[in-house]
Amino acid sequence: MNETTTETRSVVVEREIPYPPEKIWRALTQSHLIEEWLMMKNDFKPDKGRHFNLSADWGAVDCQVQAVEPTKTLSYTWDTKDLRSVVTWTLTPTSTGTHLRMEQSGFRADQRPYYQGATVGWRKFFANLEQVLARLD
Amino acid sequence: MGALTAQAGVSQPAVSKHLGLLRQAGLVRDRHEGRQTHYSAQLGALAPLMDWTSEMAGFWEARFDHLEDLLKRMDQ
Repeated sequence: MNETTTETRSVVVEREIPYPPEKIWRALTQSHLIEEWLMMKNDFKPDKGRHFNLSADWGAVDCQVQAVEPTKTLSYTWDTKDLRSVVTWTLTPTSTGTHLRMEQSGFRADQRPYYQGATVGWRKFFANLEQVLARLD
Repeated sequence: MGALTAQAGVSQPAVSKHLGLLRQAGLVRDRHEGRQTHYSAQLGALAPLMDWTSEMAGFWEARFDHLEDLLKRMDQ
């Protein structure tokens, strides 16, 4: 099931946000605001072709702006040590605000399952299960 | 098993059914000791399910939460 091909995979997260696209666009494109929600230092500017970096204690990401359509679309490459991907933001106005969609698509160099690193729901579930089981003995 | 049932607040047959399925899936290992059966989680068994996308899904969900908090605070 987890053959090590390098076919593209993607993650999509989308939410209804009760704010207009213009306000969300500001949060997505102003460096100091990006640092607040993405929690990464950055030298982002919404200029097509611009290279920028994201950095946090857990690691760094090399990026290049691919597409900029103010209050509509923003996409940039998102490359780490072993991941080559593109992050695309799409903002669609709705009666109550904005439908905000983020898609990150790409592949890992070896596409090896991602063992180490950040919190993953399953890991926490198993830690809890382990505790319950441990208390049984 | 009994203790697990008490902990989970689920009936004993239900717990044993779930544990049976988890065992079949190789996610839990059982060890018999007299009348008692001990279960232990097999973390490694889950590895193939997790690829970079499951890793990043958690990452982005958290960022969306922060973004919504920020939007609330902006322009106040």
